[in-house]
Amino acid sequence: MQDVSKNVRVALCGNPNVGKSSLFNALTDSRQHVGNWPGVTVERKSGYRVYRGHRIEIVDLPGTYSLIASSKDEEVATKYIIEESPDVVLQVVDSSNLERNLYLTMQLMEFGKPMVLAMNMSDITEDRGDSLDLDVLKRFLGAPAVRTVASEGIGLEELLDAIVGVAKRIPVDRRVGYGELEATISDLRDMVERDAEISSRYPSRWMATRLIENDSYVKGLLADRPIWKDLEAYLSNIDREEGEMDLADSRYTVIDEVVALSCKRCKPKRSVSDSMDRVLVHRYLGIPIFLILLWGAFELTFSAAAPFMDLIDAGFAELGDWVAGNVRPEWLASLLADGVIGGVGSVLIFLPNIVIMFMILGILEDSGYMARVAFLMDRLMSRVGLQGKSAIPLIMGFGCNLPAIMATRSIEDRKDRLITIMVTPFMSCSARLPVYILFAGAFFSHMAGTIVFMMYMIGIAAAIFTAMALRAFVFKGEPSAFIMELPPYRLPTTRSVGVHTWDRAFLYVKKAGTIILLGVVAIWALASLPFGVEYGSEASWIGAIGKVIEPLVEPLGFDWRIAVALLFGFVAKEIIVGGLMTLYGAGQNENALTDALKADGSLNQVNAFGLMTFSLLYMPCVATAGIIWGETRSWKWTMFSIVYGIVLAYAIALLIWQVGGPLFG
Amino acid sequence: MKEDDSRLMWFGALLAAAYLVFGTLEVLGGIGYDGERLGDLYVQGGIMDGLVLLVIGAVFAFGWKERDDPSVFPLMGISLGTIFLVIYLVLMGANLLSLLMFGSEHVDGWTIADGMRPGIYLGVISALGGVVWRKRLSLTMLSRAGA
Repeated sequence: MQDVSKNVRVALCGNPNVGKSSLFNALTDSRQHVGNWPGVTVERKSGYRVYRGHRIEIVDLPGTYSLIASSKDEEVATKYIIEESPDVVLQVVDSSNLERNLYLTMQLMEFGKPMVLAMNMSDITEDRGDSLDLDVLKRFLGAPAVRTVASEGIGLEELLDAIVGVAKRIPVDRRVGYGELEATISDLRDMVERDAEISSRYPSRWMATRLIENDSYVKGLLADRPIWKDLEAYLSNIDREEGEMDLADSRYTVIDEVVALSCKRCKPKRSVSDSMDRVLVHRYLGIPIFLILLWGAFELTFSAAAPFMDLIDAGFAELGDWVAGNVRPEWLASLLADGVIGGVGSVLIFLPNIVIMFMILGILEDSGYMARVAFLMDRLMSRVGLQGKSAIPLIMGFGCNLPAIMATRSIEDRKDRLITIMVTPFMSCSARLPVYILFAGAFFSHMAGTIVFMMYMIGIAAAIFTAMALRAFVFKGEPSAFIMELPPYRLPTTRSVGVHTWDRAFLYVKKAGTIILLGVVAIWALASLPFGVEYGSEASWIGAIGKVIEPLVEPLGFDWRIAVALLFGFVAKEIIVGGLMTLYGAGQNENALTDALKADGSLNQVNAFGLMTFSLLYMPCVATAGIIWGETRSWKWTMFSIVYGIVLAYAIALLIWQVGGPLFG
Repeated sequence: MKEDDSRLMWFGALLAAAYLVFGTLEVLGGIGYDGERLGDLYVQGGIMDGLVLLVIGAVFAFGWKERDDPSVFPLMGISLGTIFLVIYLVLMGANLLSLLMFGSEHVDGWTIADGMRPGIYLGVISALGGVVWRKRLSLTMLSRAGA
């Protein structure tokens, strides 16, 4: 065990999508989710590394373009750097995009914290023939600059050496000269210094520049201080818009000089990514290409998993038969075989589908294609009352709605954010997939993949319709403008895709072993009571519950068993399948459930399609409702999301059965 | 235009025509047209399969419209054709695996011929193009993800 003599706290910051989380993972041996698009990290996360007698705490912050926060996630980053006083600020710089990244560097430099630069993605820079002189950068910025390729673990030791070295030293004072504005800065700085408490906590020159930039955070710090009146009077006499532009100009002048001296070649030329984008974000071809790739993904998700599903199914059936034949007393055998193995098994059967889907999503994310999808959607989104930045949470919603709703923090405008939160639950998450696969397989076997694809399209259509309605009647006005940087295309690594897939598969199995297990045991108990009743019959307690709510769902073509399964689906959508397994008395074999559903005279293609649509549109799960409340802090919007989802699901399923039933039923 | 670009363009034009024709046949088959010889060409009659072929065909065809960087459209067409070749082969492999593990009844009497479709043989031609122009595809020039 290594001796630890000093603690060092490091704030890991940088522009969005420069590889901060990859570097964090490499430095702390963690497994934070990484993705080749901006906005993957929306909260700060800590990890530790013991290195040469130092216990280094590394705090991974959301991406930010400057120290002036314009969205919730940027606020997390800037507030931490400004208020939590880390010992070292480690800025991850995308070496292939130096000008833009150095703007944040300039601001950090002015803030005066000890700083280290991780010149990440230096392999891309070198591949295109550019070369960076890190000594020049170090001399100019007064901070060590280390070449890193986080995904391959290159440069980590040097980086840790630099962090430890910098933590021991007093930071080098580096300033940007602001020419004519210097007199104003000096006056403001003198006024700030009259407040000893404030000037001991924050650099006064830095505060002066922020006041010129009209930074609401700094204004908030000073608003209740005695010096504020004088500051306010002084600021009212200067043209802050012009001042802000002059500050930015001066910083970019320094950046241009630094880049010119430190970077050899560094001339823009058309990259492979630019060429690929000519096709993939093409005005006419972009969206059709996205749609066929999505369809291909669902075909693979449905069909390629089939033999593995059958294997798992056969395994659970064997296990269930053995338990039923060998365990006594009989009620325990029934609990284990029909309840636990049948219910949980019916959910775990879909593990291969989940693995394949997350593998494909991982590849699309890591390759950088998902960022293009957001860009493609922007045109469409602005027409329906959303902005392009909404596309990222919506696409994340295909995996799980919870992180997707959290990802809306990157949307600056409150109205845009609320609309996105309200429509994200319509994006079909992986929990709904077992329901689709079960019913599409049973009733649409030869076009099951296409039916599953249609479910996702219906979800997107519901999101668009809802966004349009909210924009037209509740949040009137135009969506805010969207500027998005497209990351370069990259080859996904096996490790990154593997870790992403493993994490999601593990969560799925964990959910099956916890909340779904509880759900199916509850259903089993309700189906077995009162004692002596036929298991899962109308005379059981669950039958009684089902019969009470059956009249509500009868107009949709559903019977009491579907009603009960949908009711329990409020907890988690996977329970619908587990519940049906119990209610149809299908034992432990998913194929038996498919056969039982086909044999049920009350079910056909039309109400099966209606059931899939209902499952898609009504509230995804209790946890989603919880996160909506957490993010909006509004019971009104949380209740709206739940009630609106149910009403929309009911209306569409009603339409499908009432119109489709007579035609095709 | 360089000679290599010209060859690539012509290759793209031939594949554009092939993908568009077979895509149309697949869509027609999907909406009920029952041509006598469609089965001989392994046209299964799937609307989505047809749309996939039409989109890939359109990508190849756009190479003739967007002439300022003529090679990029056929190269992306080759990539998409190859991606769908892989998808169709995996689907075939999955059915084959089910057939081997559980027998023919389990897969409703599926045979390898049932898994064949135009996306496969056109995808093979695309993939061959990918081999010929592998240096131009430049995928290896892309850096590793998560850098």
